[in-house]
Amino acid sequence: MNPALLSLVPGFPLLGVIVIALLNRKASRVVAGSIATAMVALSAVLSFWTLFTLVGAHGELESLHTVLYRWIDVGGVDVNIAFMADPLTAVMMCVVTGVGSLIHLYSIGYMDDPADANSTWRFFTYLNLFVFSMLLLIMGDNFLVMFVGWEGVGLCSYLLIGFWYSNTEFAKAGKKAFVTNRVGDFSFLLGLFLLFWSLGEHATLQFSELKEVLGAHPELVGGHGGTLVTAICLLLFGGATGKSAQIPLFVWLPDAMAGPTPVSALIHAATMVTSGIYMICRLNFLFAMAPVAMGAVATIGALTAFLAATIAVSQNDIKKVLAYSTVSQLGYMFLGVGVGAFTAGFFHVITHAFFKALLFLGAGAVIHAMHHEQDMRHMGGLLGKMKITGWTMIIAWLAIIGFPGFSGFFSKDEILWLTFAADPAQVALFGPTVPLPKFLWGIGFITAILTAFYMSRLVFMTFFGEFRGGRHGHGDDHGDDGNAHAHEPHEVSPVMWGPLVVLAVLSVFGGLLNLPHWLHAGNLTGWLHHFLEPVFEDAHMRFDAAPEHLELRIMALTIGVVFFTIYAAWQMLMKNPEIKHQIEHFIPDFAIAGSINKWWVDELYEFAIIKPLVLGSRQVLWAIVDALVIDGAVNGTARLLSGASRAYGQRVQVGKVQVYALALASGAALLIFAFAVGS
Amino acid sequence: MDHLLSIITFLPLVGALAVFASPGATARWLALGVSGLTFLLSVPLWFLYDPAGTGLEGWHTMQLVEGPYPWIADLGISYMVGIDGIALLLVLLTTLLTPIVIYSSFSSVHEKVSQYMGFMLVLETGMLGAFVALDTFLFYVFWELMLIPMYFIIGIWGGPNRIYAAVKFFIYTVVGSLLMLVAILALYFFHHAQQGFWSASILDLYHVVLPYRTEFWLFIAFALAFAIKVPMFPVHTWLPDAHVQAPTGGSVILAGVLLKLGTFGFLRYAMPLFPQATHELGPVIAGLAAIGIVYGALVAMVQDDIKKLVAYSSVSHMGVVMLGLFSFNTEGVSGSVYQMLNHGLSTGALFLLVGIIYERRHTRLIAEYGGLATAVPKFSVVMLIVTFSSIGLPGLNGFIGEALSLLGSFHAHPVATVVGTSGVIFGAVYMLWMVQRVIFGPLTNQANKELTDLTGREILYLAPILALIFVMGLAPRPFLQVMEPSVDRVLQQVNREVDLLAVTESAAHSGDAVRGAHGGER
Repeated sequence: MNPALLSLVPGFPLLGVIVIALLNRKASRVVAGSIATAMVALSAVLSFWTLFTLVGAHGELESLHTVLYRWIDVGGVDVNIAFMADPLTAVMMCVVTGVGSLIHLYSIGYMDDPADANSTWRFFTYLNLFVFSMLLLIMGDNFLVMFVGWEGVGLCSYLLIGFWYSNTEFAKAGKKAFVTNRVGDFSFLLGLFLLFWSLGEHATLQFSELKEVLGAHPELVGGHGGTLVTAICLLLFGGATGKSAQIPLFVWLPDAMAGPTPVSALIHAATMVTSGIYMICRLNFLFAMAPVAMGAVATIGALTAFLAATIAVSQNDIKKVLAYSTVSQLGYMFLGVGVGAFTAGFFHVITHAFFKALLFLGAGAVIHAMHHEQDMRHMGGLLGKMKITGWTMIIAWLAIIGFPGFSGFFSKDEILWLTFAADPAQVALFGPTVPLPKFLWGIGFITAILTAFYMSRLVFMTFFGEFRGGRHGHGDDHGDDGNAHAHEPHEVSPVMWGPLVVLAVLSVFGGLLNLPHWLHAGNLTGWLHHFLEPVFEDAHMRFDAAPEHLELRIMALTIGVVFFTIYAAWQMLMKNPEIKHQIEHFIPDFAIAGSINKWWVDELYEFAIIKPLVLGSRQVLWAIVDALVIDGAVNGTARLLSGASRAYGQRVQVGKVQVYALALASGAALLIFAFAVGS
Repeated sequence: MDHLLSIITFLPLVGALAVFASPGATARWLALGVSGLTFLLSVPLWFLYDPAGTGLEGWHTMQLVEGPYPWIADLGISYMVGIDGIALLLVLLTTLLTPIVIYSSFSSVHEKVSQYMGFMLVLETGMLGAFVALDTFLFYVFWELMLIPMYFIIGIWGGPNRIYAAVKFFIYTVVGSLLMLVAILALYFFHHAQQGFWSASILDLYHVVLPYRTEFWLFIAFALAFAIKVPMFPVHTWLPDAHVQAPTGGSVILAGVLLKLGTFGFLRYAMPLFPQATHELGPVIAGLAAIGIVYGALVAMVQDDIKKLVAYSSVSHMGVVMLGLFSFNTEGVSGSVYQMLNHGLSTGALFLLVGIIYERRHTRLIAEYGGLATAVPKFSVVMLIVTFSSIGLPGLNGFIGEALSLLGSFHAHPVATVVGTSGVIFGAVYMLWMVQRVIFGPLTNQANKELTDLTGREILYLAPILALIFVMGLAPRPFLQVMEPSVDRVLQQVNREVDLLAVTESAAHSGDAVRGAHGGER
């Protein structure tokens, strides 16, 4: 394939943005949606072509590269608008455009609320703009193009979360997302500055050049384990905690659920939020030089995975459960890349994109069918009413909890095993000999149990048991005539369930991308691992080559515990609520309250940061520093000079003040003159 | 076209005479015509100017130079104008914004129209003259010339508290400019003492070599004058009052161009004239700039009046410009100059937008608005684009300037830059909070439901700014290429510090050594 074609991959969605924005209200939902979907589908075709080109080259071709134009060129900064597709990029391109086009298609069905008829063009414009930005992020051959995408996806996230902007809460959620991300960007920019200047005359912002420079001159960043490279990596990772919703910046993602559900699926589950993991994978050669930073990545990932899971277990809003689940799963991915298992972490990015997009779209179908009902306590028994949605959701559930054979099983198991087996020296947050990986594995293991519980809870509460809905009903029970007033939930249209089915297939078979060695699957064993090897090989990550049976035993343990959890959840939630009460007895009250109240993190930030900042700015900076101190000095001088106590203002004679001002200035000027000449 | 710069500079002044004499309705169109013609005449500058400065000697690249024509010959004061790449861009910014402002004032100024339009044109001559002047006395005359029309524009067409604001503006500025005048005089005398002839040409004055203590005080005088203009924390308090009271046009010019004269002054005068003091005091200024970034943003955040919010945001943005200037490297200073242009465009546009809704609703209180996206979608789209330009979204102009300024200054002043970079957070906070309260949310206020969206005229004068927001974000190279050689030459002068310190030390033993070493360097 001609590398110049790479530019068309983001080019098509950009074209979509322009065309739909020009048509604006003249484009109906179906027209705008079809254009948008077609554009992303065209990108997807090119993306797969790119992928197959690289696959077909059998390692002969390292990457495709094309320069669109020279963007910034000043001093030591020389940056092109240029795209690169190495194996990592190519796989991610396929995920983004593939899952992206399915979600675009689904949206045509989803966004059919007559109240939105005049703004669906806006929705699809933003959605295409998002895909464009996401492709810049992953395909950019340098930090700055990546950063354009990085901020661009943030912009789209902002616009789409606040899509129904008339709702103040939604608009606030959009702002919160953008600002929280900006906190991360602050860190990211500083990391970039530090990296740039530490390279001195070798300064470059291009990834491949950076890799070469660091390979030849590792001393520029302080060498392996140096303070400088550690600081750079930690600052860059700070950016990732914003975009990928990790501790301490995860708070925006649950609120981001205010956006239309397809947005949650595409942006806040499958693609944008994985940018942080992608960035670390892209810079694996840099992070590998900083074991302390790697340890921080892994630890933050594990802790986030656990924390978010403890919140997910008690949420009743179906989207909130999925949001915290996403935060938690992203934590797994960071755990993976943090311990040096880049392929495993990235593998989970892919499988998660399949099953979490499916879960969100399924949830969207449920919400759509339930007329904007999101509270699972008002659902139940929907499997009978929505067979396709229900069964695809069940598949996604099995995938995410790691049911053997499903895609999530392989990716999560690989992360957990490689965490267990990672060399402590490469995850050296607390020193090279501390067995941090084993500890992190423990957290990951417990999180797997929590995951199995909250996901089972979601599926049971939504699809099994008795239907508890109808609170939005008007006593109108003509449920099957398909008109807008029908309140009995029924299956969604094919344009919506079609993508569900495709994603369900991917959720089942996604594991084939990277089958574990113990399956002895021949060529299929570790396909992704081999394909990505050129990208990751220079990181030289080491894992304990423990006997196979240890790996299998740990895996068996995980599977066993997960099975038990599902069984327990079924008993607790569906069969015998008494057990639930008894169990709750054993859990400390504060833990239950903490889970329900999201550990008061939002309140903490509000109380410790936002309130003091606003109050301090208003009462101290503005009222005291500006008005009293500085203006007081200025006005006081003027008053002193006018020799009278009356304040100057409208009543004072302007001419007089000017004279005094002149006198004051002349005096000061003479003084300066005297100093200057006299010295 | 030998005198193109002079023609561009004085055309508005000549036009102003005619405008003053015309009745209001004619004056509007006449003023627009004059300023439009000035803009058209300034466009060829872009093509006549040779960024590489082929064939020019020495470190300076002043081009399209006119003069020196003796003015007060005995005193060595002459009329001399010329531009480098930096001045070129600022001249173009001025000639672009002036007709936009005049056109936008058609609907906002209804009393004493001829005077208003006339003052705008006088102001334009003052601004252009200050950018092109190569003689320091000439510069000073233009500098003062700007002050008068702006004083009247605020004092006559301003809001209820306009006299207070105008006087405050006047006092602050006069204090600064008198200090500068004395410093210019001192420099002028030193030049005569060292070189043996009288000259006020900046190109000659650059050759003056001073002991550190003298430099220190003269730098302070210049820096204070310019810092007030920028305005830097803590001499910024005239700005919010001036902006809130000024009519829309006054605010746009004030933010768009006048503030740039402060930063331009640093770059053209204070920094290259006094390199040792510049480097010695660099950390102080960078520190104040960083404080200004955060301080301006935080105070902007808690404003109830949109215009005051935008005014304080200028304090924050100009802090970035100052940080970039005092980075002493190409990346930072180029970013800084770029940011001057960006701020002129995006803050200018913000004031225009505030003016547009103020004309319709006669209030600027944020609480009075909400849900404008529903009522006036076109206005809201423009507002969003300008907002994101202002907060430095990559792909738009603001990012290029902000990122380069901060990148550059990180090298020179890491701590101040870390503080200053937090502006990317606070900038998003105050702008998006304002947008959330003004543009988004439910449309409840009846008065807002009846708002009319942007008119054709409004779209017409906003369009060039919007276009530049995208062009300068996506294709910054032409602009950077025009300025880079000039930036580098200024930096050569500013970064002579190390040699100079050595020279100054030896000067303690022999005064002649200074001139000797200096002569050698030429």
